[in-house]
Amino acid sequence: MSDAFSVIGKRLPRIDALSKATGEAVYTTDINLPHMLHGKILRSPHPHARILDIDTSRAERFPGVKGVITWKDIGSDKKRSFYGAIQPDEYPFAVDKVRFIGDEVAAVAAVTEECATEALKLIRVSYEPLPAVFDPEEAMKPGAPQLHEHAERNISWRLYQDLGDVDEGFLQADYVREDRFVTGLQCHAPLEPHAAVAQANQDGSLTLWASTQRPFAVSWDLAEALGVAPSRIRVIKPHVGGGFGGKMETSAVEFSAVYLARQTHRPVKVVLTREEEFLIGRRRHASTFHIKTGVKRDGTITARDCRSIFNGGAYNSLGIVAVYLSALFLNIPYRVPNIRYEALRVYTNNTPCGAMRGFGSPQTYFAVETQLDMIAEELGIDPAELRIRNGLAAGEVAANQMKIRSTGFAQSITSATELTGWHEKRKRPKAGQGIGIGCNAFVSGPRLRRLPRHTDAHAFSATLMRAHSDGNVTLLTGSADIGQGSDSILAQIAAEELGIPYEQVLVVAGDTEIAPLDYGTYGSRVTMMAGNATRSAAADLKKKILLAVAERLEVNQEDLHIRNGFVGLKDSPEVSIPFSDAVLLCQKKLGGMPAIGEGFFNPEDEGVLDIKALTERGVGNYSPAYSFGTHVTEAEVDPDTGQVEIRKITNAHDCGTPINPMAVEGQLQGSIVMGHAYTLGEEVRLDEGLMLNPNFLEYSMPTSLDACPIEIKLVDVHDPAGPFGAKEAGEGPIAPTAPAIGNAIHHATGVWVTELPIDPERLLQEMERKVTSHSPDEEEKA
Amino acid sequence: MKEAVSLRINGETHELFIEPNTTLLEVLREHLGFTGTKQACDMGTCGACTVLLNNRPALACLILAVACRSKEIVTIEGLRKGDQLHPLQNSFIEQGAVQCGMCTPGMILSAKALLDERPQPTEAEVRTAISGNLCRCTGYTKIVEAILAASNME
Amino acid sequence: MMRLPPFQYVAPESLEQACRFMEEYGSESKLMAGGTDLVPSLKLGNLAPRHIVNLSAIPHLDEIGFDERSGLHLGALVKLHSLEKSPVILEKYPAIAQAATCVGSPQLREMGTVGGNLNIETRCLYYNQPDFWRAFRPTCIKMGGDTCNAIGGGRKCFAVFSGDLAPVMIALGARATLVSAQGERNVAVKELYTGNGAKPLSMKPEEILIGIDLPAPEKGTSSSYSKFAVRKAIDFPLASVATLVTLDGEEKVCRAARVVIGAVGTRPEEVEGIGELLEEKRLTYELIEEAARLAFKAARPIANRGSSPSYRKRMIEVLLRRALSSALSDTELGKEHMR
Repeated sequence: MSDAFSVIGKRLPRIDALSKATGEAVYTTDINLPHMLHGKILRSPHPHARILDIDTSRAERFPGVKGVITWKDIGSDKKRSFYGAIQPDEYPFAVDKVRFIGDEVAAVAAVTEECATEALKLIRVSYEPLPAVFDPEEAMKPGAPQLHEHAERNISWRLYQDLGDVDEGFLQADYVREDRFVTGLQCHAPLEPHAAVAQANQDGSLTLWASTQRPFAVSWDLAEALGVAPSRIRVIKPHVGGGFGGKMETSAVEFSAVYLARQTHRPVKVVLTREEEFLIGRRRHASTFHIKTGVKRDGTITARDCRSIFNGGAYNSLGIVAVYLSALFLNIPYRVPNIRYEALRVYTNNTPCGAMRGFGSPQTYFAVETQLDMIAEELGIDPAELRIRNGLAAGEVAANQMKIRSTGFAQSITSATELTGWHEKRKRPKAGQGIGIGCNAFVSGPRLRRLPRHTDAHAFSATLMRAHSDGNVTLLTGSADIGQGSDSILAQIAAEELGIPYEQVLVVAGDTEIAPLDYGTYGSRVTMMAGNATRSAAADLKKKILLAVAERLEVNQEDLHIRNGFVGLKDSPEVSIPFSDAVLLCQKKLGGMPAIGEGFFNPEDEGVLDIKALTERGVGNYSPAYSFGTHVTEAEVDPDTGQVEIRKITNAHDCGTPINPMAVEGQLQGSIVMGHAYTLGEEVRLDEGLMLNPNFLEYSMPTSLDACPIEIKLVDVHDPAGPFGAKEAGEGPIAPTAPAIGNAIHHATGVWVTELPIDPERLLQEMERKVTSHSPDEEEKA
Repeated sequence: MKEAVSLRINGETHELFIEPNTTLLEVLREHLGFTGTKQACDMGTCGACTVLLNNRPALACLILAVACRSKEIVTIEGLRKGDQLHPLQNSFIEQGAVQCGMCTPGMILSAKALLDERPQPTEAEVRTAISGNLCRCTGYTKIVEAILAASNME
Repeated sequence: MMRLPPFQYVAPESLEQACRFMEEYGSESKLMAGGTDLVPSLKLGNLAPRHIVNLSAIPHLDEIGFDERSGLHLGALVKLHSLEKSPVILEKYPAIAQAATCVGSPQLREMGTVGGNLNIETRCLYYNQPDFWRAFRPTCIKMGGDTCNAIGGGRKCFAVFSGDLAPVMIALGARATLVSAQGERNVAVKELYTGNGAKPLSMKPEEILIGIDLPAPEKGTSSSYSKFAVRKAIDFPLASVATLVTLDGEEKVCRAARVVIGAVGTRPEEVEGIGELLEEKRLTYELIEEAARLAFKAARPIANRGSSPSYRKRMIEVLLRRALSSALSDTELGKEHMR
């Protein structure tokens, strides 16, 4: 495959690696402007309380303080400044109520951080504490404290999916089982916390540097709140130190910086401390899944009935998306002809949960994949075989209308099982060791317009490419590289399409004033969408350039090609014009105009997604293409401590054509270690809504000594939707981690893991229970 | 009360007039513009602020600047010699060990301290040497590979 | 960036100078060497001393010396990294090297010192938090209030002593030299700890710890340190065990045994009854089980750290069983640092 390409498929270094490795790369946290002030945010100490009064007068008078804001400065007009995915339910600063510990109430700008921190203590807020509720099942009971007026029983969202005939499907089943699974919270914990620097100009326009995944969304939200045109708000995304879904929304950090900058007429920088980042960063939902699945004797799935509860926390954030995505993940990669699914997202007085890498798939696949192994054991079928048997094939459409154009699912299973010696190890495991499997599917970006208000007329992603007479090409994209390496991937795509060396592509990205629209980084959409837009722009530019050269050479355009930065005739190697000269020709032909290529990507050619059907029933072909993957995990349980040691995770991942295998591997490895931590180490310890471990010491993110050994196998399956056949690689592999580890533990110990994170003490107790229940002596004694 | 402090950073002397309750990290980032040294936790638990102090790795967020007189401080900016990158910088770039880049400066300096002391480390020694540098993006695999590759280059 | 509270900074260049300063200002001062425990406390607002006295410029406090008669001497300013690498420690006091290797991270071991590690403050999930977080709860006993937030309504402080070196030093019979303007005194390292979570260190405000001395090891003696934590780096222990065992001859008769458990109480605890149980007997696996049960009973953690108290007690038992089994089978426990 990769021999056909000159740049695609090559292990090229990232375009920004040099600046990062030398300390030159500038992140929002590194920006300092003249006369800049520092902003700090005041937070609610109560999980639930009415705000009776906010008195900022003493803070305003504190020496060094230049600005103070509360909701009054932003307004409470619901049309303007009320936010939330699908259902708005949140103001940037609390108006009448606070609903979680850490909820934003006010912000101060002062000459130093220290001064701002001291000034916060002078803001007097009178609260009337209200009863609080932290458990979602308690929150739905009659008489529970109500968080929001609009949400009866504190239900933030209900999804109900009913496809096929589920009751009939269960009648056809030879074996039915029902199991319950519980998953825990996870924090993004990017190394760079949320940060923003705002500069308000005299003419009413604004520049905001923000550590964000979606610069355009930020500019639209601010425009809405301020009542100004979005084009007057320039949002620039500098290098970002990780996001993982936590920087998708416009947050109090951006609002504080902007409103304080406008109030003080000075630039304002707001950076969260690490403790704030953990305390209020929107988390991955904890969930409970009740899943009932019916299969025939040969393991074919006939029906599924599932109920889930997502503990949403105090506001919607992007949490509703995780809920409806879970409905999609129940429908792929396996054929489930009859399915009923009720998902409830419930408000509680905890930190809101939103989007985190995997976006509902880790919770869903933990349940699905663990239960599949339970079914396999009961039926005496090899777990890998069971999965292959049920896998959707290329060309199939899932019950909820998701179209599988390409799939390397079966291949990912056979690759991973072959590489690991699965069959032998399953039959003859070494003492205390186990091998387990887990699979998943993921999306390559949503075919969904995220914010209809300003984007109805726009494509999902657009790219401009400008060729220079020195042979370099500037690629202008609104997409946001947050460390996953998307800028470099776009450069590779552009270079391949144009036929020029990778080094000649210069990327300008994530600046809403300069670049055309892109929705941002989430849902693994960038390679698919910005990649296609880039390829389209490069093709357009190439056409213009070749037209000019063809005219000069008096040949047909079709007889020309560009290879390695030279334009030549396909059948005669003597003709060779450097790309730079070709650009000059093009400019001359255009009368001196710059040579510019325009491209866009709009996946709505197959029809617009029905947002109601999607969000309320989990129905619709969500993505242009789906990725597939398998983990085969080898693990060992220490019989004295219950600690789990992962000997190896082998991941075979179908990302279509890997644009840059080295970059794909890096993303897969990172995703897997994050999944490993979700399963085994990371835990949010809560005491009545207050996180007890909001720091890197007590929130156990893996160190280099804890990260598991990983082997990657890329399954190369071309997908017609993706640029050069590429699909997603960043998020998918996180989901199979937990079930594969759990299934390996079951293989080693006989204990099923049905709750995450895995608690070693409980595992020990379960292991002991198994031993005593099998010991004849104990049975006699009992 | 402010005091005069002379600091040697990347081979050059910088004269400062600072309060004793100023950390080296603050001096580097806020006073002298060495933003290559990153702040990610400010509590000594993540390694992003790692610098070399007399060639040994240390956490700038936990060090008082006034306690650094007469010490040779090296930040990531001090690694390259003119146009010449340090072999570790080259190998991090080539091996794909840089993703978001926030951990990278601290990681490279911890690795440099290791290779200076132990030019041919084992993988276990590499992992131990960087065990105080958290990375959220890479899963550490390519970072370890890059450090081993650099050790073979030297 | 978290601001440290303002303080006067002094860096005495001799012990006499330091003692004179501490005589006058000791009660409002904090001593600093590596700063790895002090600076975080300052940033979180747990401490706000008027003076900080940096001992690093005082000469001769960072020496490691050994002779067969007087044993090992460690200056208080010896870096943890040096303990890991010192040939004499690796050979004769491997448990000290094992404990040093367990501390934090490579950077923290470069900065941290013997004296510093022995004098770290006790820890609790509710105490080691920034100002704004602690304001969400009533002021706790360790912060000068009258309630414990870890145990609702508790009237005592149960903050945990979590240093890695102390259990080893106590097990090896180490003694500490403390100086002040009044002179010098020498105490067993065990005496450095009060058992009061709120005020865990017994040194007087004007005193400075300058060195640790350990007796030369007896023939047939092995020592070990094992630490239990969630991760293999950075973490403080959730449970730890230090052992000193002297076994005699082919029969493995135990001549001496000491076990000190750490991170499961307000100070490191020597497990009582170990000597009576094991000494002058052949060490067997049955006796090891009994010893492990004794250690289990002696551990009194509460729910103010990461794992549950019941699990930490259980880990004490596991750690001791493994340490004594290693001693019995002559296998090197190595850097037994459980995840």
